[in-house]
Amino acid sequence: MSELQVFDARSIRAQVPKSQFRTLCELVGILVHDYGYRLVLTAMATYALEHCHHAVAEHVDNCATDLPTPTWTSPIRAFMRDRSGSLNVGAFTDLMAIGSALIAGAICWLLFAGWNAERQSRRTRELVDAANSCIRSKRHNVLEDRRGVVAIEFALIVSIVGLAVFVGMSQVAPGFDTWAQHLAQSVADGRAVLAQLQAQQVAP
Amino acid sequence: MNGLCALLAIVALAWAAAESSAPGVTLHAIVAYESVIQNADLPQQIDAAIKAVTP
Repeated sequence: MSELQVFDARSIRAQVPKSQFRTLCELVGILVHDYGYRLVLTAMATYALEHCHHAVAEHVDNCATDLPTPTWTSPIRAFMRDRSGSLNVGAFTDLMAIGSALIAGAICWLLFAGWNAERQSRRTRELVDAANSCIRSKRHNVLEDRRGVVAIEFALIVSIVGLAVFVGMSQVAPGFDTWAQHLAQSVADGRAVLAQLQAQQVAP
Repeated sequence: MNGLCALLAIVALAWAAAESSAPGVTLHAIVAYESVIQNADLPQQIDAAIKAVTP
């Protein structure tokens, strides 16, 4: 999980062989877990049957003798008896072993299904987290790069415009100053002319 | 905000360039502006005075 949180595109590709290796290890683990568990359960069932098959066989035999009419258990009792009519303990043991093996296999299959679902869910979560981290990282980098580019462009534009304005104003300012002084002087001359005219009106 | 800062920087550069090239240009521009505003009717007054003096 920690390896998947820090990665880039190359690390994603680097994860592929590890994933295959991990899948192989998990497959071996599944086989060992599944068949080992099944073998253990089968051995336990067989061991239990070996110790109690006589009591069970006697119980079945008594039930068989106590049931005069055929029932749904007749095929089983027929299977557990040989042609001579005696109880076939070996067939009964095989039947119980097969049944226990089937039950153990079903349990193991359920365990494997749950484990596989959990594994796939975990793997999916890891991939989703990794993809989200990659997306966030790339988006963050893109945003940072974009911000940096925008800042550089903005600084360049401001510098160029400022330099152009500085040069332009340095060239225009003397003329602007002269025009402003000329404008103020024109107003003063106009005021003087008006005063002279008003004086001529007062003194004919 | 960045645009406003850039505009202020450009204005400051322009003012620095103007003052460095023509010292007093700001004061002269203010004086000229005030004179024009305060004597906006000066041409009409001069015209009327000329007509009054002219026989």
